[in-house]
Amino acid sequence: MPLVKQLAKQTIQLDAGDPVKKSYFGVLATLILLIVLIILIYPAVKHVTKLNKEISDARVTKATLETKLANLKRAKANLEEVGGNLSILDLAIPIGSDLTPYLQKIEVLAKKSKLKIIAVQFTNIPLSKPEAVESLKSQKLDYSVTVEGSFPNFRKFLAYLENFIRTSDVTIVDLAKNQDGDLQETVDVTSYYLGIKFAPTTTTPTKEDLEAIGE
Amino acid sequence: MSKNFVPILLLTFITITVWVAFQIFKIATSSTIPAPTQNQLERLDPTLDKNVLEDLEKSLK
Repeated sequence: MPLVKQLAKQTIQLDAGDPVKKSYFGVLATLILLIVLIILIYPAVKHVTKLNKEISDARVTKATLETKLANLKRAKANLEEVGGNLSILDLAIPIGSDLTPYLQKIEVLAKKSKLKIIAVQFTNIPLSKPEAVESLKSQKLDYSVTVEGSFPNFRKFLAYLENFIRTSDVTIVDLAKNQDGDLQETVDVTSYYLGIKFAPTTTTPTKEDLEAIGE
Repeated sequence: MSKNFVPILLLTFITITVWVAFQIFKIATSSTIPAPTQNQLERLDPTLDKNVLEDLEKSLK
């Protein structure tokens, strides 16, 4: 209360004094008042905005979860309907890269087509079977096979690959004759599997790492 | 003396107003849904193409 009295006294004194001084005091007082007001109001506005945001997010979450629940029910019904065919799906897109049996099958197909495998190239493919079933996603398995043999046999090989249960996309086919005059065919294939996203390490091995590998 | 305070107070007022506005904007735009819930909210497509299964069955024969 004494502060109010003092301010009132000053205002009365200013009324009697310089009118320019009076106007500056008014501006200053207004600015200080506004600053104090904003600082005082800020926590309340922040809290209200946060609450509003949480309520709107909760509504979105509820609606999305309800949709997902309905989708899960439909998915469950579909699963029960095709329960017997799950083994076929597992053959088409296996869990884990399943590279060894896949390459063995490619070898069999090449042999069946009377082709000789010259080279197989692949990089960054995890060989272990993933354990975390809940986070599995469709991953690509890119590789290239170079075979040697006649063109009709190569066409047969492609037909076998196309009819093979495991889903494979042939992206590039490259035909070339080697120094001996034999036809060499290189096929770039993309196959698919269910797995965890594989992140190749980019760090260079230290001396200790190399020694450990050596041991 | 009072005249010198006016620009300082004016700038302080503008700074505080802008800061408060940005803070409110940040709160209003950033999501409050926690990461595990966001994972659970990921869309699930329940449709199943039965023709694909039939094709796969054919390729087995």
